[in-house]
Amino acid sequence: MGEKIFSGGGEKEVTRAIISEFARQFEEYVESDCIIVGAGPSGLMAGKILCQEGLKIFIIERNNYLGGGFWIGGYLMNKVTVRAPAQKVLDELGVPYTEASHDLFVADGPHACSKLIAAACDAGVKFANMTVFDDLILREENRVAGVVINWTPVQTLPRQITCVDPVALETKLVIDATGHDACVVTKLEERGLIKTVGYGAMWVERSEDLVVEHTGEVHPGLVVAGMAVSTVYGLPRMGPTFGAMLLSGKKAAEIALKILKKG
Amino acid sequence: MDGDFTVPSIIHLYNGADPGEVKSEDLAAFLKTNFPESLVNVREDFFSYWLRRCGAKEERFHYLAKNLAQSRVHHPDKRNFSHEPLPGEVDFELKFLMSDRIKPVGVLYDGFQVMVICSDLFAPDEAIWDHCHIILTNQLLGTWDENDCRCHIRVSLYGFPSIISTTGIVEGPARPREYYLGLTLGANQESLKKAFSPRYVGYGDPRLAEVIKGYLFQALFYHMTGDPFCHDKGCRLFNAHWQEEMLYAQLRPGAALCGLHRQILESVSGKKKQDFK
Repeated sequence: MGEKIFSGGGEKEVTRAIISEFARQFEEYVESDCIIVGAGPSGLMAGKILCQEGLKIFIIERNNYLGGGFWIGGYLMNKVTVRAPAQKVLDELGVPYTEASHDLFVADGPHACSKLIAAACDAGVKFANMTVFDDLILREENRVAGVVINWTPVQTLPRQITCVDPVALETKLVIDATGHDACVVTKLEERGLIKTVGYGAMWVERSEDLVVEHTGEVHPGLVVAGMAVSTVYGLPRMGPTFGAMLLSGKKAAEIALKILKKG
Repeated sequence: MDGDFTVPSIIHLYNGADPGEVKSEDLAAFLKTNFPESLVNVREDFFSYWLRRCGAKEERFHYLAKNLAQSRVHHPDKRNFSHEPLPGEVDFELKFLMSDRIKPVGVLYDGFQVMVICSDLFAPDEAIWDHCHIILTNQLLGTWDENDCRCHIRVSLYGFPSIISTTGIVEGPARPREYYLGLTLGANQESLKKAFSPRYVGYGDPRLAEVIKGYLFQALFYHMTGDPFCHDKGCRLFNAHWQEEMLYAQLRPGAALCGLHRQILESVSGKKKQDFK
C-alpha cells in the first residue's frame, strides 16, 4: 500500500482553523485605515494602490465573488474593453490584450478580473465577502468614521427569522465603490447630509473622462469612485468599457492618500 | 433691404473646441474670405482669454465655477436652475477654469445660462454690437423647448456672444431613423456606426470643420440681420434637425448660401457700421 496523499486531521481541526483565522483577521480589521465598499474594478484598484502604500485596507463585498461586473463586457460576453490610456493598467497587471480599433483595447474578462483580484490580494487587501453595507458611523460634524455591516443572507430572509443585529467597523476613510447603487452616499442622502443628482439618462459616447474627473471626496471621510460617481453627479450613461472604472479607482486612491496624510 | 444690415468691424473667434478637430486658421480664413471688410481676430478659449485679460482673482474663478455648475441640466425633462450645485460640481468647473486642459464632454449645460455667464465677462470696449463674438466650444449645450417640455441639445445659440458647440453637431441633430430603429432592435452599436457613419457626423469626423463654417455663417447673419436661419434646405443657413439635412446643407458638392442670402452678403460687403452713419 502506498502513502496517503493528504495528511491527517479531523473535521474539528478544519473548523477550528477556519474560525480562528477568520476571527483573527476580522478582529484585526475592526479598525483600519480605509474601508472600501464594493469589490468591483474601481474598488479593487483603489484597494490595491492604497495597500501598496502601506495602508490597512478592508473591502466589503455583498456577493460571494469579487470583481463586480469586470468578468463580463456586455450582453454576457466575457470580453472587456478599455480605451487608452487605461491599457497601461492592464500592462501593470500583466493582462494580455489586443487593439480592437484605434486606442480601444480588448482583453479576456476572466483573465483581467482575476489578475486584478490577485493584484489586490498580493498587495495585502483583506476582504469581507458575503457582507452587506448596512449603515455609516458618523462622528463629530458628521464625519464618516466607519461602516455598519451584516451578512448578506440576513437581508434576503424574512425578518421574523433573521433578527440579526449588525456589527460596526471603524476606519479613517470610506470609499463608496458600489456602482450605480451608490449605497454609501445614498445612506447619507437619507439622513439629509448630502444631495445626489441621480443616474444620468442621456447617452453620450465620450463621457468616461467625466467619471474620473468627478471622482473625489463628497463628504468629510467619504470618497466616491467608479459608477457611483455617475449616480452622485448625474453623469451620462456609458457603454461597457472599464477604463474609467480602473482610472477612477486609481484617482480615488490618490485622493484617499492625500486625505489620510492630512488627517 | 440694402442699408439695413451692417457687417461688424471685428469678428472675435474663440476656439475652445478640441484642437484636433477644429483648426482656427482654417475658420479664420473662411471668415476673411466671406467678410473681407471685417477684421478677424482668433482667440483662445473664451473663459481663458477673458479671465486672463481681466486679471481675475480667485473669488471671480469661484463665482464663475459656481454659476457654470448651476447651469448644468441634470434632468432633460425638468427646468430648474435654483438648485445649489454640489461641491464636486463646482470643483470640477474650477479645475478646468484654472487650467489649460480641455474640459471633458458629457455634462449638458443650459445654453442661455451659459450665454449670460459669458456676456458678463466682456470688457466694455468690446461689449458693443460692432464686435461680433463667436465662441466655439466642445461642451454640450441645450435649450428648453416649451412645446414638449424637454431640454434639447443644440448645435448653436445666437446672441451676444454666439456659441457653436462641436459636440452639439455630433449629438444634436438626429441620426437616420434606421440607426435608432437598429438600436431599439438591439443591433450592435459599433456595426450601426459603421453602417451609418456616412450619414451623420461622428466624433473626430474630418467633415466637422466644414460643417462648422455653415454655423459661422449663421452666427454672422444673426449678427447682421437678426435672423440666422433660412427655410431653403439647400442654404447653409438652414436650421437642420436631422444629420442628413445638415450634411446636405453644409457638405453637398457646391454647398453655399441661397440666392437671397448671397445677395444680402454681397449688399453689405464694404458697408461697415460707420458707412451708415
